[in-house]
Amino acid sequence: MSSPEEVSPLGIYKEGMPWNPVEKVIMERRSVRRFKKEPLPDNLIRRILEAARFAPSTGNGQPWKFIVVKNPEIIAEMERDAARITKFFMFFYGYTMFKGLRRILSKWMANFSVMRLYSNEFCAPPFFAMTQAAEDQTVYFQGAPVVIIILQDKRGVSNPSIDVGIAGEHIVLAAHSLGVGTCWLGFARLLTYYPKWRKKFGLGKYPYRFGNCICLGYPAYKADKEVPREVQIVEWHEGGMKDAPRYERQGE
Amino acid sequence: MKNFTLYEKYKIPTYDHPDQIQSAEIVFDYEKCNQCGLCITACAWGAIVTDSCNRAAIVTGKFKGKTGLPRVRKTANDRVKICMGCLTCMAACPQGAISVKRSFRPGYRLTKICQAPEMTYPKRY
Repeated sequence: MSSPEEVSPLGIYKEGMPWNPVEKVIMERRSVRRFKKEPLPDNLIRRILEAARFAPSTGNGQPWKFIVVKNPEIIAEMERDAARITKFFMFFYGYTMFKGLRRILSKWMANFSVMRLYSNEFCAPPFFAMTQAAEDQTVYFQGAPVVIIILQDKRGVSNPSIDVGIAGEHIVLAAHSLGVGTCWLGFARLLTYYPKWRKKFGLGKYPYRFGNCICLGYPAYKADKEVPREVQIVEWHEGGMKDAPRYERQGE
Repeated sequence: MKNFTLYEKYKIPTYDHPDQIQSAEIVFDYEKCNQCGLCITACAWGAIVTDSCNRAAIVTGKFKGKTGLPRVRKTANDRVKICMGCLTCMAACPQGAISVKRSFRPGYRLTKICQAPEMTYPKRY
């Protein structure tokens, strides 16, 4: 077996060539949801954060702040509090967990309040995830040894959320290329409802607000592998201004 | 491309109605399954359970040993499987015992527009 660098060196494209090392990391990256107990060495975390420091951002604004949490007690407390607030919300809005009159009332309350006001947070996948957490079926922080919280600087150029996302993805890809498993933890946003955590991490303190959260650790099982995904419909504009675009089924 | 009617644009699908949320369908090959529990671990929200354990018990280390045969959990009214078809379980399965039959497709305002229902592996163009 030859290594991917020998088969597909970086910077060259031949049709149908095997993945080069960067593509390999991208294609095989899967979220890791169980970690070994051993903590990551500090220099490894620094190396991963270095990838985020050199992430592209609009106007080189770098509208982010990274918080590294290594203490297992703090992470356990974050887990507990996130689960507690989930149970509070889902007691009222988690209608798929209930039957009968309670389901009807709960569904009515959800549809006329949070599902409209916070339609992204209460989209189907996070909603199911929260009902699962409320029923003690799952955990949010995966027992990870390291959690990196990314705060977003509100004053950032143009659209700072995107820059935060790019920096986060740099962290994730760098980590996977170094044999470290990661998982995005958007549910860490639930901690912003606690004054305690807002104060501790400065989640709402001007100019910062919560961006996203990533947990890292050595994976306890082999998670990285290619999986199927939906065929993507891509619009190609090749003709003139008056021609209709061509729709192509990407990946088929 | 899809054009939303006003009704479709604002209608929130009922999350436990099979016509409004088409959940992903994954198939377990119980003959290949060695009950290691990695699919339960890898599931994004613990939708895969067995009769004896769930994801929280495995990740927190309370449960050890053979898990029993996995299945996908349903909503309380038993009509919708809570699976979004991320297929992390499929990647984690050391036996290759998990395959996918259809993808997750919510309806009304959450309708997927640019994603066709078929699923394929990454293609080396």
